[in-house]
Amino acid sequence: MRVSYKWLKELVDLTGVTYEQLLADFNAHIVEIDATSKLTEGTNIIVGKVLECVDHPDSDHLHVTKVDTGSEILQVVCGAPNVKAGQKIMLALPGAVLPGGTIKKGVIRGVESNGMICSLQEVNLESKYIPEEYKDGIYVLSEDAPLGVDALEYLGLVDDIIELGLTPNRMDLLSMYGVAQDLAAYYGTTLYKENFQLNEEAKKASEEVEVVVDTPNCLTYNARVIKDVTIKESPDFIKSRLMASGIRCINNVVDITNYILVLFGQPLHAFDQDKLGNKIVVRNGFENETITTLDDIERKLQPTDVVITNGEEVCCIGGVMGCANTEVTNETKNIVLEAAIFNPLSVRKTSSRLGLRSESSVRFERGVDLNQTQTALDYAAYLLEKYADGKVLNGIVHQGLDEIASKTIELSLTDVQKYLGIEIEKEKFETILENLGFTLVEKECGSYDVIVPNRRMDITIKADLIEELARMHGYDNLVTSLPRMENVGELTVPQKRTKLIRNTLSMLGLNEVVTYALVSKEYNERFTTLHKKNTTEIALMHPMSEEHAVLRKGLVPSIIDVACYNSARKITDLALFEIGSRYYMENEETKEEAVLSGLFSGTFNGNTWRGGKEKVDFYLVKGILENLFDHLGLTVKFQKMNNADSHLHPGRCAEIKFQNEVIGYVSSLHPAYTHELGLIDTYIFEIVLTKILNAKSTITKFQSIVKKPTVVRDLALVMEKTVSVGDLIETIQRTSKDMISKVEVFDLYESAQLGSKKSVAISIYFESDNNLTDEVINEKVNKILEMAETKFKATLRS
Amino acid sequence: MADLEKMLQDASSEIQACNTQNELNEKKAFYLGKKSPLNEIMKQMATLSIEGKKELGQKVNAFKTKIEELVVVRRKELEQIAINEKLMSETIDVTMPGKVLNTGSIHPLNKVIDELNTIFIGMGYNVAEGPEVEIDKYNFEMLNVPVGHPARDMQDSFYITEETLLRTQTSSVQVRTLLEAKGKPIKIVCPGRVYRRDDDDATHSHQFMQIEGLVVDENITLSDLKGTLQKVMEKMFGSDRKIRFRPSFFPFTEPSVEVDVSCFKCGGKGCPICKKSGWIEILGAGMVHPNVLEMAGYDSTKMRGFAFGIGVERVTMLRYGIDDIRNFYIDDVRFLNQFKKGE
Repeated sequence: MRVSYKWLKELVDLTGVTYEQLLADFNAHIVEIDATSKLTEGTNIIVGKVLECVDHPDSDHLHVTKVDTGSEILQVVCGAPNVKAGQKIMLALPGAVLPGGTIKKGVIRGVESNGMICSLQEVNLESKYIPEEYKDGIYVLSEDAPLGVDALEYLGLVDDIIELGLTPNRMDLLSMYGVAQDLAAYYGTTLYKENFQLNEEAKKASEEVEVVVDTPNCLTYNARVIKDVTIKESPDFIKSRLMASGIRCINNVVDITNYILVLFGQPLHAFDQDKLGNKIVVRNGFENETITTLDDIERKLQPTDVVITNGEEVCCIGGVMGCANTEVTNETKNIVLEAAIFNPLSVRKTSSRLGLRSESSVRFERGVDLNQTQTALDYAAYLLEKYADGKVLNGIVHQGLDEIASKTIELSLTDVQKYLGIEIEKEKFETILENLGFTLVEKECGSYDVIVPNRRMDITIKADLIEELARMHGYDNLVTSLPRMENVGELTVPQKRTKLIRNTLSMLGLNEVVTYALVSKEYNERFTTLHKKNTTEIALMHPMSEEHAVLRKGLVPSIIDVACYNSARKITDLALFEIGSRYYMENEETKEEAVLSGLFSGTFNGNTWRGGKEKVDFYLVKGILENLFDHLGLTVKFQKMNNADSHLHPGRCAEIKFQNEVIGYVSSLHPAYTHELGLIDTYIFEIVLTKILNAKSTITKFQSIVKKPTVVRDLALVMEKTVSVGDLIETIQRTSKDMISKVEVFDLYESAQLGSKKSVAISIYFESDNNLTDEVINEKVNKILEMAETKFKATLRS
Repeated sequence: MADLEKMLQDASSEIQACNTQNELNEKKAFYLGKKSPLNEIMKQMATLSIEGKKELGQKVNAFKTKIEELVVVRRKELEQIAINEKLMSETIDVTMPGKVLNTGSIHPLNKVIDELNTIFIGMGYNVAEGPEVEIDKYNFEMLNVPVGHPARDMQDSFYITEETLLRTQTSSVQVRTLLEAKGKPIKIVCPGRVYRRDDDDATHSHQFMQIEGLVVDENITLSDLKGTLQKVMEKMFGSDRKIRFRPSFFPFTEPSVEVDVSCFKCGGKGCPICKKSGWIEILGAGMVHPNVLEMAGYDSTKMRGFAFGIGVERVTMLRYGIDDIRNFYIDDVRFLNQFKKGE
């Protein structure tokens, strides 16, 4: 809603309130201001008369004019093609400040010029308001414009525009009267409403027009008939007020309907009576009925639409747009003026389906005050009589509701205190509500029946009234207190674990990323490793783009995209992770699961001058995950993965098992795939967190420190390359669980000499409270060697 | 006797001239050992009187003691020299960079969520969660936004079926929490991802994060909401921050307010960050609408509550001075590395 400051001051007494204060009060007590602007900009522009206009001697398009300012005659060079002697024009005097700069006395191609004859563009009037004939030239004023006066002021074009950021509830603020009423209530000042006297002809309107309403979607329908109108330009005050309100001027009849729309918030529609005929039938649209609207577009109707017909042809889509067949034109003589109320839902459906949001439809959608409809219609008729020479026939042809009864809401001072936490004094309470137009009936001390006028359709319950009191009294008057409750807050175990994962991985050197959950269909087909066969993806009904059409079934493709983005910017040392959700359908049920994924490439800890750069490899990534699970206090198992995704390296891919279930994998990306993406060697992991986050949490159990020193024995074992060292270590540990505290691999050696074999060097740590003599240890080691030989065909390296 | 004097002088200078422990040991052995020149003097012993023997014996012993002393002193000197040399040779340039173990970073959005969670937990809140694929009933209907309500205009949504959609607001967790609590008091915050049909640009993102807050009990007031948000903003943006409420509208709260915080950059004088107003719009809030309470089975005449919704991206952008929301989802490593600092 664009509010004209100038117009507003004529509707409500704003004496003593500065413009800045007004804006601040709007924000604090009424509604947020989206923007402010000026209708036109420019100082020192006066009305002048072109006395003489000749061609510039040294130019093919400039003119040299003599302009009478009322006090002197100035020579002005003007480039406009439409300048002529005898015109009243806008002259910017030397010193005038225009949006384009300051006007100075000067010499243009050898001819002295003392000012500038202005176009409307030059004073920043929005071009949609500039009449076609003045779009490419100076503006010409009417002949009776007095010389020497401020031209913009004279034209009514000096105005500040306040753009309200209306919330959907405040339908009452979609009218100048509504806005003025709220301000009057806040300042406790007077609201000015014009008292008008309508002169009706003896002949009854009902003799000329019959109205039939045949749909519940039209709540009330009122029509007036105005004869013998003269179609012409509107008076300046209507034009400038409409422009300030953001509405283009057409002709006096159309402008007056728009003027009423802005003033009362009541949309009107004017039909050419001679084209319409003598009957109005309001009905629902028919299935597949087609009509052509004013904008010359053919539209298909539906039964939820409301149409105004003359019994045969559709003449208007109710509340949305008229049709050319009954349009008011320059030849129009007689008018049928409609003031109706349509069902908000029906208008909303129609306007959004047809893509036709108009000043009218917006108001109908939010709700128009039915109790003001006839007053608005009468005032429109009065203006048509005054500014279009119309003769208003007697009475209103009316169908539907006459009036909507006021609501009553009970409210007490205690209610307000309980809601707001502060007391509002009785007197203040009464003043605020009465100023807003509510009627109070005190039932017992401090308890009231509050009668709400239909104008405030947004007020339906106690809390609504309390909001009115709070905003008018001022939110600044609230105190700051805290709820008095006895809650103790803490994170749940899954929340704590998620936080721990995030902290651990970031401290281990990984950057956390956040990516979009909506992805392309193709994305979901890339990695399917962790998915059961019977799951399906979740797709949007109406995606905005193919790129964001379905919910992702995994996180890895997103993190690969991040790698590609960075790699394209020459950043290839990457250690990334994301904790996000994967989404899918299983047995008609939506599943959302927390997933951890990560990506590594390039070097890690690579910026140190000591020890060189460490190239990322499988074991680094696995090690970081082992670190993580250690930190979480959970035991997982890494095993070779068979049948991995085709994007994964078949020889460097491990599945991660937790409590005997595969929960994730860690792998190198397939070299062909990284090549295709333009990436260097890249490692990824993905882990479904559900089980991990919900695993039972245990507290560290202290074990007494072994008193005897630890004994370490190193063994170098030679075995086939295919032997799983992980299994070997596990088996060694099992040979003597109570004594072996740790088994470490400290070297892996392969060579041509060893052929298909590898040599693995292992340290075994023995701990015991008993004496670990050589005999005891040797016995254990021999057992291990025996086991290694029989189970893994591993022998001591000679 | 004069020989002994002379010998001591020689020994003293020779011991002092030793440059290694070995030389010193040899010298000591020479003077005190079997081949010592002392032996020559000792041979005179037999020719001397008892007094003479006694005197010579004393002098020889004094000589030996003196040699021992000289050796110990020189030994210490040599040790000190060796240590000094070691220190000298081991001196390094301590201004060379240390061997850094890379640390990573937590995403700024999650940093802010974690910080807000911590603040709220400190105030007795629990952290609730809910699904992103939500039913229309919880995302709209039970939040007092029936079908056809104009408020649905404000947040055009991604529907999956007629009844399910990607939640447009974490407020859907309000409904779930109310239904689960079955009339009991509630004090939660709920951080999470939400989705709206917006074209991605510098200030819009089709996916973003919110933190919803909900407190329900018998005596909750709008002043409690103001006090709570005042504390939160002090902790997030500095202890001298002020907040103000302005009238607003949300279907699920009544009264509804827009909340501004005094500009942390200029302190309220006006600057480009606060668009010269001294205030920054930070979140929306209000008293839980009685319809929302009633629909979830609460007696709205007995229980009241407040709710608020914080835009995590907005707070994060303000906090770190980030000017384009797309930075959060592009994940340029140069961006991420700026958030290594612990806070």
